Amino acid sequence: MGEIILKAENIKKSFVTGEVVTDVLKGVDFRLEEGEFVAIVGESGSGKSTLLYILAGIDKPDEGTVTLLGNDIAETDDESLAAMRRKDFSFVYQFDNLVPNLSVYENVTLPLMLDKLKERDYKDRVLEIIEYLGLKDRLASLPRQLSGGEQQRAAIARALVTQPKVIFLDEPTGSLDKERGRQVMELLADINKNRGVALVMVTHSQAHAEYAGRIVRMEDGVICS
Amino acid sequence: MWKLAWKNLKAKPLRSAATAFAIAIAVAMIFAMLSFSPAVYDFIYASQTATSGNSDIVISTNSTSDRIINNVASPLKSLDGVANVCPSLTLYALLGDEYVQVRGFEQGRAQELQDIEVVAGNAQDIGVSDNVAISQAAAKRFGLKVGDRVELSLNDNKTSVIICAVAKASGYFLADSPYLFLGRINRFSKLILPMESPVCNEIYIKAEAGADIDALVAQIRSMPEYSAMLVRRADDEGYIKEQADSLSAPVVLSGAAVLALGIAVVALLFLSSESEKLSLISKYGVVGATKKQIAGIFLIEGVTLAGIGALVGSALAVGIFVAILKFTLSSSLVFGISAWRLFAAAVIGFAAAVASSAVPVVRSFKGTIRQNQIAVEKKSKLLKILCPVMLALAAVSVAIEFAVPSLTAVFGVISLALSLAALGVCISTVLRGSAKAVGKCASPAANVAAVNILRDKNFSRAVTMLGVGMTVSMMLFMAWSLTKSVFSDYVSDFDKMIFVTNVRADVDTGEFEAVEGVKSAVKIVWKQGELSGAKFNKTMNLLGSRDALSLVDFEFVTARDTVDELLAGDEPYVFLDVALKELYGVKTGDVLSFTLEGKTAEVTVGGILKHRLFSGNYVVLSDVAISRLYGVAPDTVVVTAERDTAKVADGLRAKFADNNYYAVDVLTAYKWDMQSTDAVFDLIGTLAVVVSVFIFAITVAASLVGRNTAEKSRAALLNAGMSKTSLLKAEIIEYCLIAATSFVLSFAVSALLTACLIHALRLFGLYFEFMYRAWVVAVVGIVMSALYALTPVAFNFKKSYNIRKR
Repeated sequence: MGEIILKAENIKKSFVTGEVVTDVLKGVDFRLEEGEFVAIVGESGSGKSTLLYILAGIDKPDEGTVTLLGNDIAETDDESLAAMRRKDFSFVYQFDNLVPNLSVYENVTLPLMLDKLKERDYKDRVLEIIEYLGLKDRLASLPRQLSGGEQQRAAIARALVTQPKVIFLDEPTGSLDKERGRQVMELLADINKNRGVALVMVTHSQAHAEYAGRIVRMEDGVICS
Repeated sequence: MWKLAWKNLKAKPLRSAATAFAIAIAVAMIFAMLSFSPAVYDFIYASQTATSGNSDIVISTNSTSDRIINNVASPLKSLDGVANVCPSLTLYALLGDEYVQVRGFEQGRAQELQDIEVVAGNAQDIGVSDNVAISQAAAKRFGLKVGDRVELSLNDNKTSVIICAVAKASGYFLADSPYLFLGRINRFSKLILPMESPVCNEIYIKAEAGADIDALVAQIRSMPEYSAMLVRRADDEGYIKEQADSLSAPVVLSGAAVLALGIAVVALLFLSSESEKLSLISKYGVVGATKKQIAGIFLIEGVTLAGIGALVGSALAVGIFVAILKFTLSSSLVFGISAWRLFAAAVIGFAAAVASSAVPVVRSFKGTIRQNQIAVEKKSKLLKILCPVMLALAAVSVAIEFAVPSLTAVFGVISLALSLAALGVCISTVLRGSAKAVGKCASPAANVAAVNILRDKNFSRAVTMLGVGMTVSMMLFMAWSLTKSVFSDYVSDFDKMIFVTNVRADVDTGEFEAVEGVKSAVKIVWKQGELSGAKFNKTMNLLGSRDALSLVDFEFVTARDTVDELLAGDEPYVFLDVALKELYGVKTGDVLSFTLEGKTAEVTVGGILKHRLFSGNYVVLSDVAISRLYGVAPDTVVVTAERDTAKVADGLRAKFADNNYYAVDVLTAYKWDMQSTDAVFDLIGTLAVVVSVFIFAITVAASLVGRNTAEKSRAALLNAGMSKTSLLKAEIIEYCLIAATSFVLSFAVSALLTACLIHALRLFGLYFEFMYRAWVVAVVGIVMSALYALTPVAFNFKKSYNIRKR
């Protein structure tokens, strides 16, 4: 059993629309070990994406605590959390991950640039990752010039360049066709296996969930299995 | 950060250009408003000192002195503090059938008082022998050119002169009505004497630097050589300032609204792309950008756009404003561009832009990355509260303004500001209400338009900009209409009047009444003096005659019988306009001070009259009282013609050919003043047009920037099966609703705002009764609304529809 790098306890979250209050998460506990690949599955509205956003510090819970890499996210100041995003964990959305006016290379290196690293210190590593993800010929392309699969691979490349301990993925194959979805999943499995990066992935697809080492099923705001 | 900011700017070149352009326009508008009043002052100062140039003191003959004197300048030269003494002879002569003004200086001294800018011929030749200079306008009017010889006549005397130079309409030639012929004293003296002689009727004195002008005036008045003459300061700065303030006050007040609007539109412009910025911020945030880095990126972006806008705006401001001044006021005058005003305008525009660019960043810091990613626009509770609060505040302010006379002026300003603010805050609510109503139509285009307006805040921003902008434009045009009417409407009272000047005090008016076509003739002291009370000190136009009330069609606030009775007596009763009562609480029986030709005496208010004459700045006082209090006798006879004024003036000239009288109809005598004020009206009108165009351009630019952020929605609608024509219809409906809402509300509040503007003008010492021209505001509103509604067609929105955009 590996070290627990992410621990969430009694996470609750509600959304208010007009006068209607919807309890999306009703006291969820979650743990992730180092190098683990967890898939969170469930029906639409089950709260899986909201849980992922809260685990990654992208959204805030109404109640409960999230401890990521030893840091209580609620207690961590913005600067430190931003630094963790650049170094320790990454996030990949279903789509619309990339900054539209930056090229693939610029998008991929954005976290490194924000970390004020010198290009000569990371260029080889970035190019290796880009080649690994099959985007070598698309370095100068803008996001709108890429296919959906290429955009998603560019987002994964960006998530990888910081050599994170955890990558959070929200339906990474949701906007891709079956074949491209499979390719992306094989890539993720490879990243997890060979690079030792822990993955937390939300997906609708049972087939894609099978790539994970552990599947967490959500229903109506709680983890049911 | 620089790289990311630069990439953001380059990614949307049109939006960046539109934003910088809008900031530039705002800076130009702000500068124009800050500079308007000083420009009018400069122009009026230049106009008022066109005759006296750089001199400090003017000595002129009057009814109690010899009207033409031998050169008596010598005693002045020995006075301490006198640097230069320059005699001049000014007469009116005929060139053919037309009166012209001739002005002579001693040989070679014409340019001592001010420069002459020559466009043809040689300035050095002016005043040498029989050489004269004329203006370009005069050269055109009489078909003259350098080298031409013309004959001038006065009564039976004639003199021949040669045009040696044609000058620009500056300096002496700024007062070119009647047309000025500038030459040598001796040459022009032949118009009144059988032979050339060094006579004059005016002496201009330039004091040494630091000399006490008022003391020098007093010293000259006490000298026997000049005791019977009029000795005065050459420039009456108080009067010039009063004139400039009167002409510019409505625009200055409207200008404050333009300034606020300029700042507001810059802010709204940046907010138009807020959702897009929030989404971008979330993207930076998710890869680990710190708040400082995010703020840095957008600050660089904002500072770059604001800097470019401020720089371009400064250049635009100077270029456009000077062009407008040259076009309207004078093409020859050099208008000083105030560096601090330009700097202030640039700083205001720059600061507003930078602060506005920071708003999305500050807001993004309040939300999570997730909220920023989906660009959640929280419904503002503040707006819900602010709308009724602003309406209530405006209503209370207006109530106080109308109910408490002593607070009318101050609350006029407050009501003006609050009403505009209330309009700005509440207009989007009205638009949303209209959208809900339109959404009930069966048309899909109307439904889409209604939903868009209800959901997209950019429509609220657009209607706020257009509505408030339109209202400010309406106010500017009302300010123009108001000023023009105040200074022009009384002209009809003068069109049958003829001034006969240079008359002696003991002249018999019966001789004038005997001339064919003359209805009446009144001896009058028609001068300017200073009236002072506890709360005011104003330059007033004196109508000094017992018969003054018969000349102009006054309304009588005090009973006519009482006024007639008091005016016929020997006591020093003055009769004043109701404006002084309203502005300063002057009432019958008050004792005031009136200064005429350097002498001050106490006068009692005998009654209140009502007339727009000189915008209420007139004093009626009997000639008998004037003679007793000030020792000043009438030197003017005002003749009222029964019919053709010009013909009657000719008859008077013929009859008194041997008396050296000048008979000029009043409208000609005041032609120069009217032309000057007309030039200022033109400036106000042109500024109103230019600012309205600016406001319109900036609103359209902001709308286009806002529209840019809805590309995905349009693509989605096309994907859902909406035709391009139907989508265009929806956009036209959106623009029409914004235009209609703006027009209806602006028009509705325009009457109230005009009343507030008129009340607020009391702070500037200006009193007007309520005047509102619905057609002026309607035309402004309809033109702006119609042009805005046409935007989707004019910019060919249909061409931009792309189903693949995501």
